[in-house]
Amino acid sequence: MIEGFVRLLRERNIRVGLAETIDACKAFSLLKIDKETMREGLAACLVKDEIDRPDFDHIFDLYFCNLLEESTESQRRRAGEGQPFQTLDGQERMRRDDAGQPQPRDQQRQWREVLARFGGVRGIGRAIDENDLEGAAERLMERIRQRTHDPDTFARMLRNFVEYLKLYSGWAVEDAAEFEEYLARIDRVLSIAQRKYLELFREDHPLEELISKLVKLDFENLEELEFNKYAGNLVFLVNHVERVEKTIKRLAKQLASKLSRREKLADRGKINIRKSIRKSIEYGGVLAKLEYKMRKVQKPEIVLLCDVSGSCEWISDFFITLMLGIKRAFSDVRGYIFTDHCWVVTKALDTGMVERLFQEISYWWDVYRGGGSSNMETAFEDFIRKTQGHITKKTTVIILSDCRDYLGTREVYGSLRGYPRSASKIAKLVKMSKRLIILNPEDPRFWNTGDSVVDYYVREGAECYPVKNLKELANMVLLAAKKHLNPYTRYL
Amino acid sequence: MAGLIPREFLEHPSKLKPRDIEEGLIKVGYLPNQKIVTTLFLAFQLDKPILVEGPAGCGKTYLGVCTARMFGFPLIRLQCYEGILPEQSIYEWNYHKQLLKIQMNHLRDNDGLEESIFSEEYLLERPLLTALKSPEAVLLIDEIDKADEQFEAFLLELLGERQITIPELGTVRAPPNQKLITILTSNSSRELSEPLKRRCLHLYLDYPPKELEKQIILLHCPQMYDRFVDNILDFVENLRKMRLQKIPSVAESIDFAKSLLAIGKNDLDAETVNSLLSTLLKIKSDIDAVKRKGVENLLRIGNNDHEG
Repeated sequence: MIEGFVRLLRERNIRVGLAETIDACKAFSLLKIDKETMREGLAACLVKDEIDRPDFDHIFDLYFCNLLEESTESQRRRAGEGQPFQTLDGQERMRRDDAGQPQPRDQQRQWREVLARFGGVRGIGRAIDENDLEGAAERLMERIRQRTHDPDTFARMLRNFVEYLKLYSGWAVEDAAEFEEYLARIDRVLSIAQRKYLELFREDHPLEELISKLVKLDFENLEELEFNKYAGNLVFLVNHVERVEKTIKRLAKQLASKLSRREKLADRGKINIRKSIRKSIEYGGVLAKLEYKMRKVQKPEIVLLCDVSGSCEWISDFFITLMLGIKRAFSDVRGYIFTDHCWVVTKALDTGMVERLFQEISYWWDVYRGGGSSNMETAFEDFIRKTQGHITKKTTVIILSDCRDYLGTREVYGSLRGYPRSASKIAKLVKMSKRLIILNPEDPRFWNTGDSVVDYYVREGAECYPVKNLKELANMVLLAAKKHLNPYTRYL
Repeated sequence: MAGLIPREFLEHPSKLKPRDIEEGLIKVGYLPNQKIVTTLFLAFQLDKPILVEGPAGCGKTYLGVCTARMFGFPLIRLQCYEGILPEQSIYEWNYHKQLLKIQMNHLRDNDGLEESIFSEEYLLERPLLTALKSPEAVLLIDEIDKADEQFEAFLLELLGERQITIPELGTVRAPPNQKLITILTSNSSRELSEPLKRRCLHLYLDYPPKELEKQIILLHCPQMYDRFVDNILDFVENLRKMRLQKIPSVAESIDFAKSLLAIGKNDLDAETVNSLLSTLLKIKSDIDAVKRKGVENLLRIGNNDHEG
């Protein structure tokens, strides 16, 4: 029984080893007291990272739904009397943000209309409004049943429908407390509908297979996810910034441990007299072995510059998530965005919230309406001016851009367009900083075609890597550790 | 030291129920939730260490202290810090004594010297070895995230196999039927290694729900009125909603309540709160941010909620 449960957890990218599975089996036999005790016991054995806890709870609820009577504790939790102050999840962050920063009224009205139409026609929204959650779930099931009888499509539609409902109610419901209540109700509707789904298909399909369909992510592997497919889905982004942050932290840690082994041998600090003398006691007071001080590791200083021009719109969600992920993983990060000018977004980054960064970028677009084309010459010039004093020899500058300098001027040789003036700004930045890294979302086959000026930037000392998803980011980290092996700079 | 869990349960662990642990913890002054009770129960039954993570001030270390009191076991505590070495935590040879022995032996014959100076007589036990040899104990390894990764690797043998290998002596194993409850705490200042996590049961302690926090404060300040505690918690909750560098935890709420009692207050007013802000907030910029926002406003929000 536990084996199937563990398999489902692994499908959801929760890493569970054999030893933990054995512990969980033992715990299972000890804890057949009530569902909540078993939930906590299995979580203690199987979940080693709190970020995985919501996924664990979801799968647990589905897998053990018929196994044991729900304890009163669980019912209370379901009824929303949970902890009033917890680690903020994405939705709560959004709610709090909404409380402080109301959305524009016309937009709210628009979404409220969408939701009303949704509720009016289908009856689902109205049922949720009236707190008839069983009825809402039944209507939801009925609606999907009319369209499909395939369990796979059914599960996907169920998931998408609920995400859709959440997303639009996020914009439609004005009051923060009302919005929270609304989201809780939608979650309960989903939970009821999922149980109904299991009942519906249980006879013809194994339980494990059905749950797998219900909890399956829309992508096989998060690390291979290309974010542009999900462009505009705010709920999706909010929920996944934490995962991106975790991946970046893991990558940074791997990189640090790889480098530190080499560095520790070659790059020792000063002699630690106190420790050396203490150690000499082992050798009868002879300083036979010297002890060295550990070198103080400098905290990385990072300056991010993100391209938000029209040509990067397709990858903007990934860029924004990446910026937030880097900010959360490292403390000293400054953020800027650019098209033909540069704009400081450090404050928005500091909040750690996707919505704030979106607001900032929207504001930027409103101010520079129509100026959505890249001019890297003016943008970099503005960037250098605005970062004066912040970029030192300890700073790593990371530019997220496709390097398409559409409006930038070039030196002209007869009829040929030559050296882009923006490359001289890159050269200046390379000199000022410790390292200048460009993360280019385009396939390297398309680099240096049309208005792409990758070559010029690399010749001036920038390192350019193709990164459009987390898997490529991981490759980039490995390449960055062995700079001389970078095929994208070596071939030049 | 007599504990609150009957000896019979310790000798026959199958008789111990989660309910006994819950009652025991309450009796020693720790209000647990179901998560804590279940994890502690499993740690005892499965003989596994517990890794407790969570923000500072949520009762991780205190859980270790209260567990020792509840079982009546001695508490052996190891405070980790950056650069802690195995010699300071596991064992160390008593070099002075060894040197004296060598000097003495210069005057006599040297037969068997090596065997004699590398025996237990010349070994200084540090907390981990002491815990390993004890028939029953609670071992609290506090703030493991502050120690280096190498130190974590040293712990694996102890946590997994309950043994420590001393090259000159051999392997020291725990006595049979040993009752050792190991609790590691971490503030997640760095991510712990996978092997360490795999050897432990995981417990995440977050800020408690308001009702539980109220009970905790009442437990520490039993003379306080319910309504007064509600006001304190409303104010603390408003602080937690602000974007502060270090938000006040339960420990700070208790300190704040105790300070109010000490100065003889039974209601919150802006002047008193302003003077006691440092018990709740530990960073100057946080205190400045709260003062800028106005303590009166934060108190008013809480009061309005109550009136509503």
